[in-house]
Amino acid sequence: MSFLNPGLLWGLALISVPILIHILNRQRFKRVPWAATRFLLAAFQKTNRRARLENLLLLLLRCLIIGLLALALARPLVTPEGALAQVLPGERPNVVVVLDNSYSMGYRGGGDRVYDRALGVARQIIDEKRQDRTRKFSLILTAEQYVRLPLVRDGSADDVLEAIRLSDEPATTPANPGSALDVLDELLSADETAREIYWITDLQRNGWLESEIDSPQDSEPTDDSESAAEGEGEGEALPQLGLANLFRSVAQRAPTHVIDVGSGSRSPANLAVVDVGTEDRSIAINNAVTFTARVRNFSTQDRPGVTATLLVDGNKQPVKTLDLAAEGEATVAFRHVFGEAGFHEITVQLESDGLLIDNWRTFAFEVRDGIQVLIVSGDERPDDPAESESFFLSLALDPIRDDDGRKVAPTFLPKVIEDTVFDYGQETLSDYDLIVLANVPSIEPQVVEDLERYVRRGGSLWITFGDQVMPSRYNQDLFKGGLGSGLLPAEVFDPAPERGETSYYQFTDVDYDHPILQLFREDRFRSLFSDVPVRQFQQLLVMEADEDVRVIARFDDEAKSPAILERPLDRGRVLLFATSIDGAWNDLVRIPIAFLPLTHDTVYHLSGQDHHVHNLPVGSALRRQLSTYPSNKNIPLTFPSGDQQYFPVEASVTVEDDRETFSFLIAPMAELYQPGVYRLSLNEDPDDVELFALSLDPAEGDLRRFSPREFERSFEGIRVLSADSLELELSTDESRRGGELWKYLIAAAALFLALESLFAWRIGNHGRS
Amino acid sequence: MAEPRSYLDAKTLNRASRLEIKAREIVEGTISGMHKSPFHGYSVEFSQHREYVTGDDLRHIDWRAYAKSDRFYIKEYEEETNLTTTTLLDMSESMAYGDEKRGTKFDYAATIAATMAYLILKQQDQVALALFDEEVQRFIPHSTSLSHFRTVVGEIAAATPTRKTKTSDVFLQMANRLARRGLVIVVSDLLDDPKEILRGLRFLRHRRHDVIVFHVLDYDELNFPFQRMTRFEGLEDMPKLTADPRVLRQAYLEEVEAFTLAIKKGCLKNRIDYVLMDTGTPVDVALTRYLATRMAEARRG
Repeated sequence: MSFLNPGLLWGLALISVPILIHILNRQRFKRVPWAATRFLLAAFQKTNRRARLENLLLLLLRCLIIGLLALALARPLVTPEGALAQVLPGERPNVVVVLDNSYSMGYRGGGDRVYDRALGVARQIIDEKRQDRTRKFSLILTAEQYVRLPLVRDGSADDVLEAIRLSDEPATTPANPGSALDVLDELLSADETAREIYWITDLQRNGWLESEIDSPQDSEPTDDSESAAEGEGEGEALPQLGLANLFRSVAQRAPTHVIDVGSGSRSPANLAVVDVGTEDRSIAINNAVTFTARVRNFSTQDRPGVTATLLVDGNKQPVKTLDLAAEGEATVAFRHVFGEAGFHEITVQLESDGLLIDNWRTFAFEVRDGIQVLIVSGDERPDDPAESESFFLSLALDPIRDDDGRKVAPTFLPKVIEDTVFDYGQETLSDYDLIVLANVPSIEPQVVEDLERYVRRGGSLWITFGDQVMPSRYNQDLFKGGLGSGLLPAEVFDPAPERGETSYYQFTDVDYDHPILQLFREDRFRSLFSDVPVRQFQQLLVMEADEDVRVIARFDDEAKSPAILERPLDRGRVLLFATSIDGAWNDLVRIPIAFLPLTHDTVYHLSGQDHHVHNLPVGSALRRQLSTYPSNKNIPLTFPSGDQQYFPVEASVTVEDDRETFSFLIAPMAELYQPGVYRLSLNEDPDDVELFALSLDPAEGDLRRFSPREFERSFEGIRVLSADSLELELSTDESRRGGELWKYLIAAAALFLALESLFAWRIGNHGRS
Repeated sequence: MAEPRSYLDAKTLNRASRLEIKAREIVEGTISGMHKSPFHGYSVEFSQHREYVTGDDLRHIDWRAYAKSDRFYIKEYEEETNLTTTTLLDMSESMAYGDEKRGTKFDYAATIAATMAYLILKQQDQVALALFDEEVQRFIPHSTSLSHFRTVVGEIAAATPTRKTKTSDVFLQMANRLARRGLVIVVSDLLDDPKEILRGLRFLRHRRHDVIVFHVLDYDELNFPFQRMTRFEGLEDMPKLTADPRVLRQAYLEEVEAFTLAIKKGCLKNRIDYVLMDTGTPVDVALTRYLATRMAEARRG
């Protein structure tokens, strides 16, 4: 038992007042000489004991009333573990612990890991609060992967402690305070139960911020110690308005304490690999691939000579050093040649710092031993192959063979068929990485459908023009009104008129940044492409509204007609070359130094992988659609940790344009949260695995924090406690919540007062009756 | 027997005259309207000669006897004195209780005694007075003379209640002293052992006296109206008692009632007239009420 106003306990001395009055009353009496003493003595003997008892009781009641009032004024508190506290009704709100377990909590700044401190605080709160056995506890984790539902909802203290024990490592996702507030909002709205909230966090800005305004002069001149810790030039952080409102609304309904467990610094130093990958979409064996990694310095100090290591399939490669400016970013490039086809992974690893998890990043990709190209020719001449539409293209893509007749890099595997054969629809389109339609007059609608499905699922289509092309059929079957409703990104018109014997068209407005033209980027090479004489071209009209179309080069005619243009279509892409790929309409084939790189880079570009399929953010679900049933009925997935899980293969039927298509889905694959490489074995060959790399959201690596005052200013009605002051706060708060007794004491005093009046009246009255 | 007392101090004279006037007023104003006396004598025969004492009527001096013996003798004729009345007036200390407004019990009792004396003397019966506490302190012998009344009143006025009571002894003593049967009027608060009191009264009855008990109690004694903490200081060597009267009242009243009831029952059993006189009730009212009752009973009887 403790007292809020212990000084007022002196009021208990007032108990002596009724005793004194009682004694004084006995001293003050009227003297009466009395004759009938014998009756008096008899009456006295009869009533004495009862009278004394009644008087004593009356005295006791009066003392009790005064004592209770004095106690009530001193405001006694019942300790929550006391038996009395269990009996007293009163406000003992349920406890909601909101634990920031985002990956930034793994930061180890000069000793403790922030997350371990947070766990300690959470346990401390629960241990303190569980003393009142009527309380219920909820636990909400704020990392993106956990935040959707409370981990424990109105459970016992043991439930929460067990959940905390099982969550002894931070998550791999950023904090999502918005969702955490939504969950709290839902929890508070669900019922009328009183709750109090303890939000344990490192006060990291990421997740809360809308924007930052740099205003160094504006930074808090009031508190020296704090501004020293804040450092120079810190911008004023503005939280998202919606979050601030939601937080305020939550705090209005339940007392909310934010407990800062973050490291002392406002900007803890942290280096992170924020991105790793390659510009090369098509990676083939024996080809040099350039990988780049972006490294960010999240601290306010320069970091020169940071070492970055490349690991290829787990094997260390030579180390590179890079210099990072304060809050700056640097890119480091590595080149590597792969000798084996199949899936590979590379990891860029930085030297150790406070937060390890974002010091490395992995990239997964497939190295192919050849690119399957199907050339559909609309003008094949078996009698004079050099006049065939496909002649120069297939020649350009024909693999170089070594002395033994084996293909060596670059590896293209072209196959030429006539358009009439293609129209039979016998080809399995998905076997090819790229399909080229070279001067094809038209395509049967049924084949158009197959082709469209092929492209939409990730295939690439390259269309070149010539004298065989029937613009009306193209517009009808392939354009279909444009804007992605058909395969064609532009409407096809008649070929432009020739300029004459001596005059010809040239390429202009060339986008040399596009991968297929990058080789000509340098000024000295540009003329190799731009000066190619073009005698004739197919006039194409791009719809202005179609923003997905990228015009890579134009002709220098009056209308600046598109010469090369590209449009993605779902997961695939379509590229149009508005002139012929043979020598009929231009002289490109006669300039090998231009023709070869252009065709090769176009094929590389179009057949390239979409690296995003195999490189995903953590929290993604792996979905792998297969056109054939895999030999493994249960697909094993090996996690970065080495654990293996099996997933069943499910057949799925999709209906498109009244046609049923069967596909096989490895599902359901739950969201995966371990960063690193996952290995999917689709068939029994242990070497034949498909890799997926899951990477962290780099934004969480920005460890800049709110100062407690800044946080309180941003979120009205929120109190930020330090982990150190928590104990005192908890014990004070808890003892207060243990039960204030004054109400009961006043009530008891009132009751005894009524009793006293009744009793005194009775004593006074039975003498008179 | 005690020496005759001097009544010459002013206070006593004043009291005596007030007592006399009061008694006369009561008798003349109220009781004389009654057609017949409530008291009757027993004998008409010559009884005896006795020596003259102060206050004897000169008309009753036996001159013949004076001629023979040269002394004054009074001839007492029983036929001349219908009723011999002796008033036993309690002058114990307890009778001194009372308040300024109502006066003491003794005042009240004195008024009764004086009134009765006057009434009886007026119908020419004999009246004697004994003032007693532990014993008979003063005795005024029987006389029929109206001037005797002044003597009686003077004695009463001169009396001061100071000592303890011993009622039963006094009653025995008086029973022995009163040779002739007559009317004995006891005026007392009877604050003594009720058994003893009744024993004494029985003795008087045994001597064939007609006994009337005027039991005088103070209004306070009968109603116990005290409210504040009070120290009751016992008279007649009784102890002191400090108590809250409100607590005691009920039990006290029960005690008083039990006491008066016991006396009343004892009186009734011995055919003694018992009259409880509350000093809160004016004497004339109380006396008239009693006398009227007695007359009615006499007519019936």
